[in-house]
Amino acid sequence: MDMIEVKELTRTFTIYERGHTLREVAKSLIRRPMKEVRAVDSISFNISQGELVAFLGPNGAGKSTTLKMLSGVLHPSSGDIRCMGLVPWKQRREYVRKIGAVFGQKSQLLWDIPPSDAFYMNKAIYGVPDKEYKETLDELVELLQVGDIMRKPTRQLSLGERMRCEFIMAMLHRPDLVFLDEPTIGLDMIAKENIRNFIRSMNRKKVTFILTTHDLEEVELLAERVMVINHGRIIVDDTLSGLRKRLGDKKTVRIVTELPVPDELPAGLRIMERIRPFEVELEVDTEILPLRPFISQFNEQFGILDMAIEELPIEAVMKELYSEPDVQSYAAAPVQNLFQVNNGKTRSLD
Amino acid sequence: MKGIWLCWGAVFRVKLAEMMAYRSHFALSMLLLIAGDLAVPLVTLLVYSSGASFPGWSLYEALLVQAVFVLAKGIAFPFFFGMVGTTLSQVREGTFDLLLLKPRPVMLMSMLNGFDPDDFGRLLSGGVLFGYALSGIAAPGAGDWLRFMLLFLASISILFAMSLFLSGLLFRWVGSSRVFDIFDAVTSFGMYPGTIYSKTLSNMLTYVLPIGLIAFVPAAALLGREGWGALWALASAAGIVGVSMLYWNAMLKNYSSAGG
Amino acid sequence: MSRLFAMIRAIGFVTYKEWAAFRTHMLASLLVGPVLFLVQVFIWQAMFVGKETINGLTFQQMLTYFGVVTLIHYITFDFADWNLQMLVRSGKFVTFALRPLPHWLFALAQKIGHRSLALGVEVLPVMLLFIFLFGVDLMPASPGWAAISILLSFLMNFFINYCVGLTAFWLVRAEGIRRVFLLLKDISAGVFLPLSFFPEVLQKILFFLPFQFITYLPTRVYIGDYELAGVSLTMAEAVGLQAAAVAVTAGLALWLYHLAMKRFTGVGV
Repeated sequence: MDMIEVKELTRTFTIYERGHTLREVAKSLIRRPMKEVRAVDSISFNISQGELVAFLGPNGAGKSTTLKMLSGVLHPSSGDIRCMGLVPWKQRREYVRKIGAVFGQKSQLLWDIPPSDAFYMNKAIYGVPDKEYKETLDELVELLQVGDIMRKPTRQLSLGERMRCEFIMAMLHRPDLVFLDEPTIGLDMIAKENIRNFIRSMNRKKVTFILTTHDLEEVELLAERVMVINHGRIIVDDTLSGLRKRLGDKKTVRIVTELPVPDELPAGLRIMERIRPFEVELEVDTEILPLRPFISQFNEQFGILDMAIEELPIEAVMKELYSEPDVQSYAAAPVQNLFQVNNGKTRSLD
Repeated sequence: MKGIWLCWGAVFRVKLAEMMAYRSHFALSMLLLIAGDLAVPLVTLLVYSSGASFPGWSLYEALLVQAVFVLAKGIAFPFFFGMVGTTLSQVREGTFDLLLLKPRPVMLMSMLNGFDPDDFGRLLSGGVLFGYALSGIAAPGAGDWLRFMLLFLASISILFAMSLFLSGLLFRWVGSSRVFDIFDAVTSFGMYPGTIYSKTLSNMLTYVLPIGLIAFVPAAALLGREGWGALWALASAAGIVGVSMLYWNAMLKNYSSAGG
Repeated sequence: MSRLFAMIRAIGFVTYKEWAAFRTHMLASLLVGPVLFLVQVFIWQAMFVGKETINGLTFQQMLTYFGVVTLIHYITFDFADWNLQMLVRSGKFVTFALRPLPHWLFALAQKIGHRSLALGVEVLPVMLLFIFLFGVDLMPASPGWAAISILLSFLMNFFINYCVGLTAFWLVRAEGIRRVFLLLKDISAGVFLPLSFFPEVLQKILFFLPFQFITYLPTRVYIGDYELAGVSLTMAEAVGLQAAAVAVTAGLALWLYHLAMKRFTGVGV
């Protein structure tokens, strides 16, 4: 049985619109125009224990709303969540005892006093027995190396040090499921690596993680499974390598030639960017045109002076997905088609 | 229940630690809070010394009403009124969600979060004022004291209910510090002898919006002006506490199904 | 100069718009003002039983006093202190340090926008309630002097509150102090009781403190006679004195601002 089952989860919000000109402002004093927005639109998925799932999507796509519903903070408008046998917003107290959460932008620590005091408070709130608390704390302190840090007032800590303490705060009651909302936002490379190693080692102990982030490197390093949410819908639910494969086997080639490259090119080639008259960046679909014939043909026609071949970066994949307009048919259409539709557009990847 | 006490103990310890980080400010702020609570009694004193008075009330009797008021705040403010400030700032900043992630009743969590030791200063100023007022009146009998104690419970309950009403309001009326002004304005009726109001208003202040219960009725009991019949107020206080808890929970539900 | 004026106007307008969204916060005054006033009505009704005047004021004059005090409070209200302390404590002040406009001027422009909104939402409705519901006489004795005096009070309140806010550069956590200072300010300004009720010695002290210029003096100018600590002044003298006091306070605020900026850039609060 899966740990989390989500069925047709939907959440709508009513928003008020405010004008810009003095007249509109004055008018809005009397009556504010209302608009209903579907932040999350009938999404369904399952997650099993021990998974590490990343939610990706542009700002305002519905990620945090989904996360809030999953953590029992927000009631859905309709649909169903069953998590560890509980309905988060109905059996909130029982449920939150089993989950933890770290928000990159909302601190659970107390600003003026050392984190160790805040840990102690959380121990009482979660009712963690003394012995278990000590063991867990020792283990976490060891893993995250916060021994002396946690006795300094929070306001004196660096962001990286603080985030490590935030993780302890969230893990003290040994949750089975942890929500991470942009946990490494604003951190330097070393601090990020610290946190990522920690997440990985906890994940090996069968702790399930649900992560939202904009850091694609993080996704590549951590997540086995990726859900891309846009306009309130899940548009991709796949492994990261699966996501790459959906693009076909493509490479980007930057190439300097003796003769100028024309706009019209044979099938499997597409100009992504013209850098200089004799230098272009191409996308090569190696399923249609394998690399060897591509190189020899190209060399014959235009004369290759210099070239560099690279994997199509994951950023490019995401950018395509994010820039989708909110059209029903796109979400309904299989993702494979979606890319073909887009490949017809020129210069959408620059 | 034991868990809740442990929680309270832990929060108390943490708040003390927080306070110790700013020792000098704590002392000063407590001192000034005391001065602040004595403002209205000071005005009463000035008015009485210019020859005017509330008809039928000596200066000490009038001050007794205000003393009871400060004492009641001295209990209400540190223990639960702080939740108004908590909801005010946390709903605005969007951090109230963090309280919903704790495996305890949210109402309790927001009270714990708003716990403020500074406000114990009010107990001190209330006590001093109370002592001063008592020194100027005939010593109350045992029955008066008993009635006073019971009615003081009602007083605390009314403040408890008001905290819940104001805090609940803030789930909808996001970030409005005006709730404190509303509290001050509405409770200002309670700082003076109830006899100065018109009959209708005075009935309203006893039965409908029982502000009079905060200070006037308990003080009157101590002055021997209330019989055992006044204890009906306990029932109405309990009723209001019930209503306020229902209201707060309804507003919370509203928040968690409406928040962004 | 015109660029400065345009800046102030733009900031004021943005503030106006910002707060238009929160107009219900201001509308709370329609409850708070009249309720507090109603309590005063009952207090003084009881006090005046069997008396023509208390301390030289009739019941009607007393109501006018508190009515005018309330209106002046709403016209000159600001939270420059709260705002500045919040900016300093949260570290957001740095964004203002980078702007080509001193923060105090920004705050003043904000106040102008904020209070322009309040004129319609708070001041006027409360005034109408006082006149028609409570029958208070709110006719100023000399509208010209009253207007100037209220304008000066607007500035006075701003500079005093701004000074309180500036303390945030030196005192890390001082909300308690602030709260009570503002309360003492209100008492010394005559919000709770006309200053002429205070003992002679206190009146003499209060005369030389800046607080009377926020509430007490403009209220007495509005009513048409000024008297404190045995000093009676004509309207022109009173307003002149007030103008001088505002100038001194403004100077003090700017000097403190200068010190604060030095500390800010030096220590990086």
